[in-house]
Amino acid sequence: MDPEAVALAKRLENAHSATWSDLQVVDPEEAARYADLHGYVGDAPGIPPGYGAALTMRTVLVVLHDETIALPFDRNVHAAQTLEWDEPLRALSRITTTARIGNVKLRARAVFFDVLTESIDERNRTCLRGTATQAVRHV
Amino acid sequence: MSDSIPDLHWRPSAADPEEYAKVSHDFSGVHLDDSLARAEGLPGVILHGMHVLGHVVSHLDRYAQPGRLTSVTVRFLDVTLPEEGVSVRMKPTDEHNVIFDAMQGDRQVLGEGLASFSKD
Repeated sequence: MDPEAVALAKRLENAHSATWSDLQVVDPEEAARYADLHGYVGDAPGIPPGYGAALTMRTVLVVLHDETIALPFDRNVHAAQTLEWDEPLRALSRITTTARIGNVKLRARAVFFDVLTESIDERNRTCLRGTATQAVRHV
Repeated sequence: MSDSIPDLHWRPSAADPEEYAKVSHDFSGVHLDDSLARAEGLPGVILHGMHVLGHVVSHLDRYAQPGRLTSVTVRFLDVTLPEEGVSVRMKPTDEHNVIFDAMQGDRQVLGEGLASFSKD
């Protein structure tokens, strides 16, 4: 087994208790641009659900670039994604996304790990939960 | 949910990676720098997986009545390139669930897709 991969899996396991949080405001103009980019014709009814997912990815990126994890970013790929919407996003809502490391699996060709996110609004209601599965190929 | 959700076809533009990077804040070189992407063994810049999934989510949201989409899960199987058509096949399995996958040319780029909708 690639010793670098073993070390990475260990760093990810050690980060299980860590959390990363990020505050974003739902910008209606940016959401409208997102809607245009993703095939909505005319005005999107409300904030597109995919826009919320894009906001949560900002927090996932903070995790992936964390110095203590020291992820070899050029060998990392986004392998899978799950999204669950609980409440629709509203314009100008203040969304706090908290991320943490979930399952870590050391496999023959890659280290797989999940970044779990939960996004809550200013009323403390969960809007969106996500699981971003990453795969870091061995050298 | 609508009785049937049509398949989705679109052609990502060359500007899509840069535009999506502005929203996601993912400015990785493989999405924005052609020479860097080629140095990584890719045929050129690639789309963000979440941008591709965003098209699918938007399509499902529009056709299944906004606000009723409750969850989506998918595997990213291969890179998706700008300026090449993407085809997403939608297959409802019952009143509340749709399975989907996506092809770009002869490559499968999304697999094991499942979208679920509320009963309201």
